[in-house]
Amino acid sequence: MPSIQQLQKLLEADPNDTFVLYGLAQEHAKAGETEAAIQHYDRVLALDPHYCYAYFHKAKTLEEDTRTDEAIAVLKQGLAASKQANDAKATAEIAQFLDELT
Amino acid sequence: MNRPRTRKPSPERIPLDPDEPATLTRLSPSRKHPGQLVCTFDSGATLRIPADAARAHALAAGAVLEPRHVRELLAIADRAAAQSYAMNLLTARAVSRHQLLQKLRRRNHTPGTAAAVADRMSELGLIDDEAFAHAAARTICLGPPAGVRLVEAKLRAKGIPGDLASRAAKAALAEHDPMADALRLARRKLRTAQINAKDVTAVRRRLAAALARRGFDPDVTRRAVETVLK
Repeated sequence: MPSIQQLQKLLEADPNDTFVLYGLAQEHAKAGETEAAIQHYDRVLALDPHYCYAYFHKAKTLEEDTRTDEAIAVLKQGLAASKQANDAKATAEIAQFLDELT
Repeated sequence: MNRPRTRKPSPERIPLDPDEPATLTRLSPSRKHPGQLVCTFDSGATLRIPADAARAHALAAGAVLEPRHVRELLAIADRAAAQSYAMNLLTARAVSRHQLLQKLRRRNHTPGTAAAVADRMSELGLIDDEAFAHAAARTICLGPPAGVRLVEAKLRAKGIPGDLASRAAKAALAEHDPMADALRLARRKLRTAQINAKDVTAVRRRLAAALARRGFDPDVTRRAVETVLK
């Protein structure tokens, strides 16, 4: 995975590239930069509400920050989105995570 | 010609006797089900239970379990297996609560387990009879012309309660003109049926029966038949 700086450069070329935004969110999450990660997940979801794994990983980031109630709310939104998108794999993973948290 | 694939027979499962004590000989992580443990007993019986349940019951190899503990573990394992099945099913396709309960009962889960799992799936948002009924009604209405009674009947057959079936059927047919649908069906039946055109009474009877089977109400049926036979 490219570094945050490399991803930022790619984002300058296309600020609405959801793949790059998602990558940035993941890198910030790995670095423990929770707020930056969440902001980037939110940007992904604003551009593509059916980017199912953004819900999953945003929830994971929140849960690791002990913000479990917010994580649960995000997972419920993600479950609705993944069912609309007919993404069985994402639905299964989100449902499993939701089951673990509730 | 392809030879049929032969499957190795599964090893015969030894049931755990709920009325006898049992010694837990081994506790190991399940390879197929992350987060679950396989409990092996002195009789050769095995149970798969969630790891947190094993911790809550302080299970360890060598433990001798009284019958009531054995029954508790059996209930936990039943619930875990039922929930695992339900989640796999519901992430692949939508079913009604009633259909899920039927499937779980057919897999020999207890009624209590089936109901608890169905409740849990509702809590998780994986079962939603309201959404299911409306989506199913819309799908039925994409097929051959149908009246509200047929759509309701098909929804009830899927386990949707009567009042919800009625609401969903009416909502799906809200944009439809029942008379136009009935006429379309009656004209198609008239064209394709092997009917002796001179026997108007028989034609009228058969068309009316066809429309009634498709759920059109008697008044719409009568008017549609009279219109096509004019």
